Amino acid sequence: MTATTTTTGPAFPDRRPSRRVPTARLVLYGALVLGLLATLAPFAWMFLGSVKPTGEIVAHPSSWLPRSPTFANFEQLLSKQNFGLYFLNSTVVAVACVLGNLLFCSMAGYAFAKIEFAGKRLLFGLVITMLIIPGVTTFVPLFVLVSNMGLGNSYLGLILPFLVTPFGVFIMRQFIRDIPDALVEAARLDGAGESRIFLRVILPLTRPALATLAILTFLAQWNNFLWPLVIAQTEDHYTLPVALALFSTGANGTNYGLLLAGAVTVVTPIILLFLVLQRHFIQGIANTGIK
Amino acid sequence: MSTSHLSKAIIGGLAATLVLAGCGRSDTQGSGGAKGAPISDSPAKGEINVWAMGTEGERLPELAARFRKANPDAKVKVTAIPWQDYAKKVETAIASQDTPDATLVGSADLTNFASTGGLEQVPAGLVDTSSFYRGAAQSTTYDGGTYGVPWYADTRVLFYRKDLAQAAGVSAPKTWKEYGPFLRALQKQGAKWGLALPTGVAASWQGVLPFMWQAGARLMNDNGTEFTFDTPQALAGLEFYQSFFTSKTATRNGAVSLGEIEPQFVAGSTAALISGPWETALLKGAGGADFVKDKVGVATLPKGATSNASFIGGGHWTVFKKAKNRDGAWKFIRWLSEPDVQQDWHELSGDLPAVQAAWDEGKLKSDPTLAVFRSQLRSALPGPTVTTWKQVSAVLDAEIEKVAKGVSSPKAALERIQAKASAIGTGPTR
Amino acid sequence: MTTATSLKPVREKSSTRQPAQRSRRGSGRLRRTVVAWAFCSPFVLLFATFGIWPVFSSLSMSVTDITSRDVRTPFSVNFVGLENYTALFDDPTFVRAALNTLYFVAVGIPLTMVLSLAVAVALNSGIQRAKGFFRVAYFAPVVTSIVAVAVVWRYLYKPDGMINSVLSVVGISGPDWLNDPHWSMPALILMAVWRHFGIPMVIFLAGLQSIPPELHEAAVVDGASRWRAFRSVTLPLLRPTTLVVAILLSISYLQFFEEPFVMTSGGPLDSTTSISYYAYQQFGFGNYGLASAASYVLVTAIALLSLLQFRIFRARA
Repeated sequence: MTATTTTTGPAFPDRRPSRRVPTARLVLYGALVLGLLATLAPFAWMFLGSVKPTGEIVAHPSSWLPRSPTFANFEQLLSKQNFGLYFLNSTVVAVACVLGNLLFCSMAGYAFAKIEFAGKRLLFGLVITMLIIPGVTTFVPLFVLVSNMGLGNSYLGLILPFLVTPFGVFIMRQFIRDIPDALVEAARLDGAGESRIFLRVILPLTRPALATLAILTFLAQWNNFLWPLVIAQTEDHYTLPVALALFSTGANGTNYGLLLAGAVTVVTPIILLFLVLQRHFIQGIANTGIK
Repeated sequence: MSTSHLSKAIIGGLAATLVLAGCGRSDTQGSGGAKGAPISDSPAKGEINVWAMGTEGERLPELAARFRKANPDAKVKVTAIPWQDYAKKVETAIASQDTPDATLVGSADLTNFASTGGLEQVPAGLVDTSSFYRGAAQSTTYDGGTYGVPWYADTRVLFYRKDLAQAAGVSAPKTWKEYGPFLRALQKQGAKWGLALPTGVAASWQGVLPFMWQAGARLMNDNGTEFTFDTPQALAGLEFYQSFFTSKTATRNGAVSLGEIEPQFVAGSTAALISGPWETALLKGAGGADFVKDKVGVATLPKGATSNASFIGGGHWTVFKKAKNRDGAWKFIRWLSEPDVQQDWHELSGDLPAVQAAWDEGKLKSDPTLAVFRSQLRSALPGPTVTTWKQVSAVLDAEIEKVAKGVSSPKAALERIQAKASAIGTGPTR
Repeated sequence: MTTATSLKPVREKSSTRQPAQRSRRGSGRLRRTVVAWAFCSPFVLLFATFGIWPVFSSLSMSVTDITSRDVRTPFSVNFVGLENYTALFDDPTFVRAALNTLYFVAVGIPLTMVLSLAVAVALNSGIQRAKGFFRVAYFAPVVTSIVAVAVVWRYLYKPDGMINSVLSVVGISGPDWLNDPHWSMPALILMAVWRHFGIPMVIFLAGLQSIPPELHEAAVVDGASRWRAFRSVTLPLLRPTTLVVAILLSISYLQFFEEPFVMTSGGPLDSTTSISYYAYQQFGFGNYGLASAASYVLVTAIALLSLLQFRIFRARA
């Protein structure tokens, strides 16, 4: 791999126009493009597969380009009753969780980052601990709890358990810590209350972190399968992943055409959201890392 | 959120703290559900909420509409749920006591649900157990009670490349003795592998236990309290399974995911497979209708020393103990097991009737492929109906894999299966 | 947005601010506590209900013999102390799962870190064109759903799939990846690296951007090779970033579950069973007590590994 030596080049933006031999750079571009192909190939396969008839998807040997392209999979999917409703349910749940996380986690994150208060260490310790507990552990107790609260088969039952996440608090706290105290102090000296400081000083400065949290929360909720499956008692509370599982997986076989068309349907909104928010997003993630 | 719900949650919370303090199991704790009052013959009333999975769930409303004609005061509300993780959904519903009235369950899962105590026993006199295929009825029982009514049944038969068999001048094998030569004859016609067998993927046991049954093995003692895998018959079955790999008739790396084998069968690289009634549709998807018509043969499994038993699966109807309309639910289920309704359902879904009498008319009687399934259903058997079966069957899958991959002898594998299965046990002591 | 971008991280610990605040207002601490809890209250309320309480329940479950048969009467189960925990380590499948998880973490984390750092450096300073495009494309696998990814990767890993076709071009006959117990884990590691390296990549990118270029240039002027300058200047300055990446990866890689779940069901021959997968299976068998215990063994492992990494990277920093 000639590329290895090149990729570990200078670790800073090289702003001068390069006067060095361009071969190294060409090799580097080559390596990056190869990596790009490897990264995008599964995507391409998914998108191409979604316009193939099922027989062609499972054909052996398989080919990349569809021999007889068809939108039948999508037509079949969209003709399913209530498909619009499932899409709407997914959107409602994901958006509600995004809003909840943005507001409540940034509020808590602000308190953790900029206010000294009794109980802070204990509370933050709990947040960190929760961060590393796998979801499968708490699934059954959580369900029994939510169901006993009478929230089975309701939007509240779908949303409330994910309205705040320890991860959200963690990244908001990390980000807000990096906002200079001087800004907060100045506002306090001006006589601003904490809520005013939070709304007018902190929130506008945390946009990248908010973008990050928005995408990651949206992503997690948009793809969530098991929780909506058990909470929804009737089809009108199904979300997209639950509906797709219903249509594409049988007891003894999978309809790959529908599955891929469904996957494309599920992935597309996320990719669009990512493209819109990506600059904020990448920066948001990045800044959480820098301590 | 009503006050009663809230107080329930709080009380639940307090009680849970007591778990740490250590409260014990009471001896009287019953595991099963009590038998409810008999069901009258009057028409059903009120809303009946039922769950059904996958295609069954999507098509059932059409059938349910006919129920309404005979029971104008009743309304069946069907919720279609995905097969994927449906067991978790049923279990959590039972745990939270927030259930519909009835649900379809996979025959292999019934025991687990029944053992939670969340299901009601089938009321006395609701249906005639002997009207169903024996294997189907057998898998509705748990701990001496009957918890489900069979609805549809499926069993695995031999699908083979008819064209290759004709070219080789052989016909479908009737016995174990003819099995190997038949498959090798197909291989001589160009197929790389004669037969596709499961080699350790989840539920491989459904493909391997039949070999043991065919050799005469019974995997539990008579009263169902102990596993008996360490018998010469079980060994004969497992050795026969192994022989397909050692003779290079079957690949040691069987299909891992659903839908993987059909293209190989269509391409002719695998000449035979063992599968259920759904296979025809899958093969049509992969090879087209003409392929199925011209090149696919179907036959019952070859007979071993004792029988040609296959695995029986399918769907049963169960009623939850917390049902709000138990009366209506049982009436609906009784209606579903009437022979003519079973025939209608076969028309709608292609599912095979679990009621034997339903096969005596029309296409179910005349179709040659269906005749093969009918014959196979008579001898088909379910897995043992003990609550620990899921766990024991995972052990089986793991050991089957070792035999298939050639890292363990059948004898050693059976010894480990027997040891582990005994350690796991057959569930709570009765 | 522009304000935030131009904002340089200022390393000021909140504690340094405290004396000033205290002198300003004597009763400040009580007031601050009230205000802070008010800010936290919506979070705390939801977090305590839907976060802490279920954890508490499952922790209780791990010291009882509760099974799925007890879900309707969860309080009539026996207290078994640490029996579930000892049973775990007596189960060869669990031990295998623990070793597999270790294998995955030990190979997966360094591989992901090296790759993401290499790509970050390349995107940061190696090229000038299409940086944004590459950045988005390399990040894309992170946002894709696992189900879609699994279908595609299963095809890629077939004996005659794309990966082996590429290998055969350079004269290597590839293994039957997912069916060979020796190659199944490397196959899943490769897939996991593909899925996960996007996030560390952008974290490294940001870390690299915060290193003043002058430092590196000074080293090069002093006669150090580019590689030496990278090793002796850039890498040490990236240490805090590396720590964050290592911990984030430990948390997600130790919970290794989705890849075996969708690709191999833990096989062949248990070669890809992980602790999380084991716990999932035990939940499936209805052994809630044992399953919870397995989860908490995992939690302990994550905590220990994070602590270890703190020690390593902090000590050297």
